[in-house]
Amino acid sequence: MATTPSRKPPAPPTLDVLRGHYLPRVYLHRSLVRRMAQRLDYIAILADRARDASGAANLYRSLDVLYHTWLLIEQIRKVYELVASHVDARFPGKRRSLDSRINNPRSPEQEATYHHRVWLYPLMDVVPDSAFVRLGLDADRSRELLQAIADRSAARLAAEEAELRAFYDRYGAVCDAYKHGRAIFAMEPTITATGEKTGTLNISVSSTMATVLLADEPNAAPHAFLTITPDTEFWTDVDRVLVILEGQVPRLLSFIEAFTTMSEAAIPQIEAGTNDPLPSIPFSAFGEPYSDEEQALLDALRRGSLRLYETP
Amino acid sequence: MSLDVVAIPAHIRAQLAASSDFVLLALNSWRETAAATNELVQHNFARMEHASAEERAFLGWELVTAAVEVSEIVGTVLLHMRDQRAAPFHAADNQTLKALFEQLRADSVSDAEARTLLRLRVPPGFGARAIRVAWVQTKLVRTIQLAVTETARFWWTHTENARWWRHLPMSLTFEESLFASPVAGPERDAVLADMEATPERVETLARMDEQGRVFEHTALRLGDVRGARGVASVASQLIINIIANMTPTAMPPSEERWLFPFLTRGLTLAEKKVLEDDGNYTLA
Repeated sequence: MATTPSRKPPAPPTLDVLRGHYLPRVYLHRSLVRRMAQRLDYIAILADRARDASGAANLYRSLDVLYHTWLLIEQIRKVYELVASHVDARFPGKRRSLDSRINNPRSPEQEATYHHRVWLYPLMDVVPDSAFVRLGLDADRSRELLQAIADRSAARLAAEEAELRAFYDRYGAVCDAYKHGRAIFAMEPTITATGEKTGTLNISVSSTMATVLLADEPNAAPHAFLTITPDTEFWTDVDRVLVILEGQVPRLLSFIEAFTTMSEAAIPQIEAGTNDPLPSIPFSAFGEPYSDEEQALLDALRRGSLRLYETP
Repeated sequence: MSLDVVAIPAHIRAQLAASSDFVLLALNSWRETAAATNELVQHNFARMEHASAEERAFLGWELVTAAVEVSEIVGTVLLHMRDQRAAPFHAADNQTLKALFEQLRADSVSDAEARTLLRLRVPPGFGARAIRVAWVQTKLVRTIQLAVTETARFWWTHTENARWWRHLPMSLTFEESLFASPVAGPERDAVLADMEATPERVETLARMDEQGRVFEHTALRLGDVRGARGVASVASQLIINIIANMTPTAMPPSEERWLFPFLTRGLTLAEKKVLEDDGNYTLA
């Protein structure tokens, strides 16, 4: 984000572009994020069920919590990609590409701006000075403060994404087995070496441990057992990512709802050829704690309407 | 330690697939998996009664998806029963499942296969006891064939819905799709009229078609959700019943044979008594 408008705002979209291009994509994104918000509530219900259970029921219910948390992380990472990389989800190939995109490495340049792009912070670069002035704000100072908030937010979001990613990778094999025909088995394997090339395998039925078979190819003999126990470490891992998701998902939803409202409101305005104030460009920040000056600025933006296109 | 990797030495690895005990112990643990999945399905169904419209739709899609997943356990168990070298590690791929369910929805399982699944044995000889048991067993064979066919049909109907719901559940409301794509036509009008006439809709939506950039209008009906609940119940009982009646050492004693409620629901009390007294079955 620049401290002065670095670019002129693009020309307002035409009605055809808005109706045929922006809005369908925004609606699709919104439906996904609404369901993600529901899944977050659903996970809380699943976690209550797990806490209320003991023995094997606790094991299976804990795996339910794990899988749905993992799935929500996968979906939020897909939303990041949809927005930051402008993936047009109307095309089947591009939708499918999200499965690999979320795991693709990013160049240092992409990494530096990734979360700025997810939350559309660069939009602030094209807001004209007059939009700040109308709200009684000093444009240069406001941009300076917003840049600092955006940078702090992006740094925090990058750190949180790294945690989500680590969780996703750590529990990936278990969740993959869960969704593919529940190939998870409530048993505990013990291998005892009796010599350099000899040893015994003992497997017992378990009500506290589940085992996934790790193989290089589908249906090949496994090279390792991956065991999972819903213990204190497990719940600490789950609780930590749920705190992150509880911070991000509702804000992602209100962000995209605001963006949808803004896009819909533009239609009658373009049809009528007027340029009345639109709902504010959404600005969602993760830069806590805020100074008094920053907080006052954020409050002013929340109350007012930061217009991208000014009346000539 | 919540996660731990136990490497399998090469000499043990080579024996795993050949060891029926290992494969069957893993299979055996699916009894609880199937029961737990079914329990979650029934829990979600009960929640739907007092849920908001949005939550009902969410739970409805979850129900359908979980029922597809539990159907896939049925498929893998049947594959294993047919050929113990197939899917020894319980990870049947999608193409294998497609071929299996295609065959099952058309032909179900044969009489002989159904008898094997339930370990249906007629008492030796041609006495009245043998005749009574054989008669009731015919009904059991028909029930299991129907259960397998319905499970396969459900899987075929909803496997793409489950994939959509798990991978990227994006959609438009009808109003949004009309707004975004306002060009009307007789074909679309017919689809919309058909949707409007669909009773007991839980959610009506427009999804992007998997073949191109067009909208596919669809509805989740309460009938689909009820069907999912039924399939989850029957499929989980089928899994438990098949595995409980397997003979090897990791299983219950070889003379213990079980029949679960979905199998015996259509039987009279007298017929159930025949199975218990003359057929040595335990009716769960």
